[in-house]
Amino acid sequence: MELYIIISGINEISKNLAINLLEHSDEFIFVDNNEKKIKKNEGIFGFVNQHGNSYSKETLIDAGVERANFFIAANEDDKINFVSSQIAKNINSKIFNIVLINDQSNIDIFKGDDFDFIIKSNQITADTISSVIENNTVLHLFTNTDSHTEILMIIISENSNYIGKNPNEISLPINSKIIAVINSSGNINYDYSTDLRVLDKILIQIPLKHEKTEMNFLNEKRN
Amino acid sequence: MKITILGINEITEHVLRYIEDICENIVMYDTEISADLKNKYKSKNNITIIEHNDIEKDLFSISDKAERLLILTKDDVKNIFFYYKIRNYNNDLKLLVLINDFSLYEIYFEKQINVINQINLEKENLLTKLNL
Repeated sequence: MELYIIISGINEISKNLAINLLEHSDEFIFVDNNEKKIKKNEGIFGFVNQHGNSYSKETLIDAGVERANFFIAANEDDKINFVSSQIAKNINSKIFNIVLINDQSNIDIFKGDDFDFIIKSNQITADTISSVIENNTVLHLFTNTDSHTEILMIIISENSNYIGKNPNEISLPINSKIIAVINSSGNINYDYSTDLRVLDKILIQIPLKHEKTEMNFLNEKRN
Repeated sequence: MKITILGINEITEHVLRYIEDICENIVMYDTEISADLKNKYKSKNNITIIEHNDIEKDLFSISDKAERLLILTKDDVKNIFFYYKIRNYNNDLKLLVLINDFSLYEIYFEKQINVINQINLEKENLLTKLNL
């Protein structure tokens, strides 16, 4: 499914994300109030920019928030990320908000229904956000309450941005590890020397957490 | 009653006119304060003006000293964010938030946050919202 994504803030993270989205034919628009950044961005991505503040209701409506599937608040200012996510959700209750938190001391207030998925800046890569949107299939296999971990299996889909990557390049939640990679022929690979292909399966152990992780978000999306 | 105000501007001064005679201690913070403004309130014993270049950093310690906190800067995003930060830190403190943009004001009014806008700065409404 082609997605429509609003990206608030033009910076290196959001531009890398846009490059990933382009590869998957997703439609996106940047929102930023810095005209110089908009002009520069036009040279890279074309006319996919909305000049204005992403916490302005009018600007978000002009950017198409009412039909958007995702709103990504990727500014370097938590205040803007916080308020713009709330406004986006207020206009379109079905939108899925992905929010970057730059200052870890602010994390406690990014809670509630307005913030569907939060990413801490020290964990962030454009790949992390992109993989949230991307159409990988994640299966929950086992929960170990003794070790407070769970085992998940990611099945690499045809459009996955993991294809061609080494398993070690995948962004995982903190304290997670890859247990094995099973290729499409059923062979189990423990040394992760081969780049990922379609229908490969990755077994991952992640800690049970109260906060949302990329993995349980994907599970929720599937259910 | 000790009232703390973040942000000094024409709306702050408007609000001040209603409360200065009924509050024994009013402390106002801003990042930059003109000499004219300092002089204006010099003679008022119950009003203190503090120039503070990083209010956000000391938000909690500032709020600790307040019985009522009015967040009245000209920056709506800052006001809203400060509101949530302080609310998360101290759920009991009575807060009042200025939201200048009317469309934002409506959104946060619906969220049942104690907000004011230029349209409802009447004395009675303000004192009710401040529980004074």
